[in-house]
Amino acid sequence: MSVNWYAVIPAAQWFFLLYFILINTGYMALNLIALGGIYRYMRREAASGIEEPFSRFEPPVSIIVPAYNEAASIAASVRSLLQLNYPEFEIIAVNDGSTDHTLETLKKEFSLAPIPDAARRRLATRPVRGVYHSTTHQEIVVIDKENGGKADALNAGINASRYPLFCGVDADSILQRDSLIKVVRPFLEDPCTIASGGSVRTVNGCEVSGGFLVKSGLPTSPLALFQVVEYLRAFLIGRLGWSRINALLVISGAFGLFKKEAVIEAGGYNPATVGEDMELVVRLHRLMREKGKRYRIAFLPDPICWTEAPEDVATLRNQRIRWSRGLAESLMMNRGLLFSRRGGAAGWIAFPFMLAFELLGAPVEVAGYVFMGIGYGLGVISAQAFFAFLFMAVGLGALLSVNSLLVEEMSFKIYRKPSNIALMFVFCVAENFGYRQLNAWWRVVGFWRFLAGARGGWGGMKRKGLPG
Amino acid sequence: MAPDGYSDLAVRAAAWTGAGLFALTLLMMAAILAIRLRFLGRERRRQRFLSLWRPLFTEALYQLPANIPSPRGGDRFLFLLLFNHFHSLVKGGEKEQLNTFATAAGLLPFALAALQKGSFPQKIAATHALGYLREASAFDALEELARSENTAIALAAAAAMTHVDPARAMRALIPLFAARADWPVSACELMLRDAGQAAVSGPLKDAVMEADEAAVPALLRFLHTAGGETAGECVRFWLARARSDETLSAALQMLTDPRLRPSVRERLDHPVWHVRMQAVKALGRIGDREDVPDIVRALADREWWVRYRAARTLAELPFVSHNEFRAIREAQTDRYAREALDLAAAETGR
Repeated sequence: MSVNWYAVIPAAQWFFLLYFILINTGYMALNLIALGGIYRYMRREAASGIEEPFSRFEPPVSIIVPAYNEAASIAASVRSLLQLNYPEFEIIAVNDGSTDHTLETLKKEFSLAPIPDAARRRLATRPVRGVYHSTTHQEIVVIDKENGGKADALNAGINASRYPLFCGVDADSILQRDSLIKVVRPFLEDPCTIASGGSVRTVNGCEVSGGFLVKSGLPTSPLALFQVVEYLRAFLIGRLGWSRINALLVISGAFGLFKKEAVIEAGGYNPATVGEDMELVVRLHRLMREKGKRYRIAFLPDPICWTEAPEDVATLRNQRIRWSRGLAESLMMNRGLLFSRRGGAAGWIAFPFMLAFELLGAPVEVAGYVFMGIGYGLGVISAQAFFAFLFMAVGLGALLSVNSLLVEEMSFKIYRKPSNIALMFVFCVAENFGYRQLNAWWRVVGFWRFLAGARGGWGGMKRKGLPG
Repeated sequence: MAPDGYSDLAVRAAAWTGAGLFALTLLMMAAILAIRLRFLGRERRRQRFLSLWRPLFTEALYQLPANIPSPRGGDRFLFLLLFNHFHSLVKGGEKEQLNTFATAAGLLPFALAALQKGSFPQKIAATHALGYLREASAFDALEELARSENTAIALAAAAAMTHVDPARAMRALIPLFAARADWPVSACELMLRDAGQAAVSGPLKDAVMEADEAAVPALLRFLHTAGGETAGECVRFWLARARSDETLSAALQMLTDPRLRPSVRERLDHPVWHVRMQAVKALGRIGDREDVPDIVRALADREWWVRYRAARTLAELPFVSHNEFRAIREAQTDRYAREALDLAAAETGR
């Protein structure tokens, strides 16, 4: 049977155009919601910055640091956490069966002594081999357990935690001294808050000293620069927009604060997914909605956590494939939320959006490129049509990125030099030529691996290393 | 080639959309530049303002400057912010000095106007400033704002009322502490502490005694700010009348009167675990040697939290010696009881 390209091409053109219009109308709406959100937030900040109304009464927090083969950095991470400006907290470092000297390093650095493991096993985990308490720092507890992955390590940390709120922190996250004070605020403002997260930014190009960021800047690596723009777009627009309608489906695993009882009631982190951070948040939405309980999952646009962005293609590729798989798994495992009777904004707007545009957007985008390429090669699509669609796609990509730059300029102005803004503008446009396509392809690979049922573990990351 | 009209239309639509999007992108970039220029302009003005006023404020802490200027139109809001900032840094007599200085500079009329007609940040800043100034004429306006649906405004106004007239403020605010679910407990406690025991005691006692039971747990948690006698009276009152587990738990949590030991002991066998847990904790505060067997019995409770709290209580009782504690541990045949005691010992250094 021969394909009638003259009939297929126009129909396909319309399909891609309509999909394009739909996806970008969605993103534009999210942009507008985020713009309103940042305006409101900054207005309130301008007032509350004068005097902190909630100081002195923050609830105690258990900070859980899961670690796998982090011997080189774990001591510095824990030391920087000790310097957080917060009235009462404990640090629970969980050694997830590391094959390097992570545990020995912790024992040496913090003079650990074994204590009985009498914690209640409210979440099932791989066996705990030992629990240690620091003799030099009362607030440090270390759990040594058999390898079970990041989610399993976090669950072990939750079992051992004493306080009503816990904060999951990646061992390589760079925080600010006031990060915890800021992220706890939604819990003080609204007793129904069950989780809160903040903006994560890329630390590449910034100056770090003593485990804290002291000066912001832009990296020299183009790959890292593209990610600076991406993080701005994802956090300042995406997450802020969703949180405004209480439909935020992901809180970054790098730094997120949760109400312990709500998480335990939901069954804790799921070790069967590579996207345990997103899966937990989607599940919390689903279960809270099913039970008809009032709840809030909050997001602070403040940049409170900084993470190192990969600067080599292989690491970036692996990261993006994992993220795509994580997204697919999180949605599939909680498909009951989709258009459920009590689903609210999470089930009726955010979930379908994530499914149709974030997950399936990449395969559609790649199919569009392939289709245009084949059509152009066969002479079925004119050069005029090819460039018109490319022009439109690039224009919209640039607009969405520049809008996040605008929001950043309206709010935090992290990058003070005018040259930084100019450079970011260039990268907002440039990312549409090659970087975006590469990303779309990696997302397709991730989606394919999800369909093929690949198994995950701790995601490896080749680090350049941070100064200080 | 594809000569169809609708395909051409799609191409044209794509080209025009692309052109429109690029135009919007450039417009946004222009907006970014404009915002940056405005920001730089504001920063310069702020620096000029600070270089003039910061030394004057600092001088005013020790003695009033001989010549006190009035801030100009656009600088008045900055003046308000700087006044609030200095107030948050100083104590006692220095606050009075600041008030005299700011009043002489003309802060009061501006703050009162901002409270009525200012923008959101101006309103909040004015609320704080009027609280610091203890401006009695603003009390009614502040009380109205404290009933605002906006949490930030309402809390700021409530805090300011506490500064202006603590006794009157407590009478108006304590019922709101129970009614406003959006007011964090921590913020309410801060106001109660700022108001002081004398201002809190009477209104809180009246509110607790007269409240509908549903509101009682929320009010009981503030009792520690009302003084021992009032707290004791309220706890006794509700311990005898509580119908809900939450009220009972809240009353036990606040209990400090040793005379209520028999009533506490009764609750060690309550069917609800958090009541049993609070009873064990209460015995830790008011109990004596006679209560040790009851606390030891709670080590075998079916609920982990009760066992853990019983173990912590035993570890922290001053009259249970190290050897006695070890003996209690050795006497336990229940694995869970031993584990709870081991954990408590490790945590408290027993």
